[in-house]
Amino acid sequence: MWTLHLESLEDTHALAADLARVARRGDLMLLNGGIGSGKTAFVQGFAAALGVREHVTSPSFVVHTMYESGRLPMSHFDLYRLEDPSSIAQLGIEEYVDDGVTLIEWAERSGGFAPPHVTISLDLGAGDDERIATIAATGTWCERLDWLGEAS
Amino acid sequence: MGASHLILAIETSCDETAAAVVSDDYRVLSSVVASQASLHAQWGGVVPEVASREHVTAITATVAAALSEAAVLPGSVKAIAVTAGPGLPGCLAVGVATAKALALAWHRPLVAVNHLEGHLFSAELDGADVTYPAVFLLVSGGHCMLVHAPQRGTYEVLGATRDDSVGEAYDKVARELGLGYPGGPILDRLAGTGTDTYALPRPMLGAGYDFSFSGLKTAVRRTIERGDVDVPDLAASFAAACMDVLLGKLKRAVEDLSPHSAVVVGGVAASPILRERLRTELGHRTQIRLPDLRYATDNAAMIGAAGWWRFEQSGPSPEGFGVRAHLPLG
Repeated sequence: MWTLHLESLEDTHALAADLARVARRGDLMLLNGGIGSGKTAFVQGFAAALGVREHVTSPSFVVHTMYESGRLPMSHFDLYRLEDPSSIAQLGIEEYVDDGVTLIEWAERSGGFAPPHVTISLDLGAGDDERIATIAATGTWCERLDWLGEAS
Repeated sequence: MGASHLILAIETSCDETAAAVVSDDYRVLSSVVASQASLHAQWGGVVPEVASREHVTAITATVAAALSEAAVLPGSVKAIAVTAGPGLPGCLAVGVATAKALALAWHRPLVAVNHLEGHLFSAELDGADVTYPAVFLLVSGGHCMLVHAPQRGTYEVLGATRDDSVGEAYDKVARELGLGYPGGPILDRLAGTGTDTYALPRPMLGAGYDFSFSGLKTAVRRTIERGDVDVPDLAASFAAACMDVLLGKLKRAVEDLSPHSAVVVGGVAASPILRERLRTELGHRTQIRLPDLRYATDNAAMIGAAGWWRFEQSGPSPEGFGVRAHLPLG
């Protein structure tokens, strides 16, 4: 587990870009944190670093958006509207995971995802644009994130 | 009546299965909307897989109801229009496949319609008249954009949201305030009973035509977390911030472009606060046009009007067209 202090929106984008650079086909990334904590901003930074040409917006309304213009196909899910874990099972998320990289906002609303995955939890910091990011990795994500330093 | 030509329109881009019969002068003979809202309320939101299966279940009965309410036989339908995007791919596919099958069976031309252009035509239905050049503000659960149309059918997207749509920000803030989900309309009503006392930001108000509602959402959350919140006042403050941004950008577009009309379309166009402020703040500068409330949210009548326009301009769409989830406007 790593805890990072993000001073600004640029820091959030930079962290996302760092993760995008080491992302591989089949990766699953879970994003948690309340409204306005920067989950969509993280995905925007991630997509830009992946080479996605479309502008990424929040998929809360449509639940799932696919972007195919980047280095890897990117699936962007948002479980905000889904209260019931059985409705999340209906999404068929696992059918998309093998095809590219999958990012899931409000992942904690599901009953949990089978590893391997990386979980990024965002919380508000003191200043307007400050955020605290907590990263928890499983599987090959542990080695791929060793540049973050010694895990605590 | 006998002389006018009729188009059958089909719309399945999100969670409404809709079909309509519209004449070539944009009169609506029928507009049937089979909403999945109650089904999705059980889930808490639209589940794309469930929505597309529901479209399959409802589509033929919806088309049949549109024809029978309009009292027309398939032989009187001159063309078929269908939403090809943007939207949920699995949902769009149901409408497009149905429209293609009907076009093949009835030997009728088929027109692919952009859902966003459909919304822009929603204010021209049933004899309502939009004078061009026009500036459109399209605000709904899924969309938030400002569009300049120098003439009908020609669009320049001036700006769009960089993060959340305004409808989505309303629903999320409503939930944070304990008003349930989707609580946008409840929040809007509650806002009418409160006073704008909380100092909330007006994101990007002074900067260009793009929108951003993410920072406003964060500011509301921080206010709630500080505790001791007057809910009606915070609702009023949030609504005022949203409306200031929406109307501020629309006002700037009216000043910059001097259109003959300013048109607000999409589900948020149903907001009484928005309708009232539009009239008082912009009514003296340009003609204000709003769709009938029936046509503000997703429907097929607007697809029929846009379909007629496209058909008259450029004829049928190429046979091999498919669905496009990210189809841009213009």
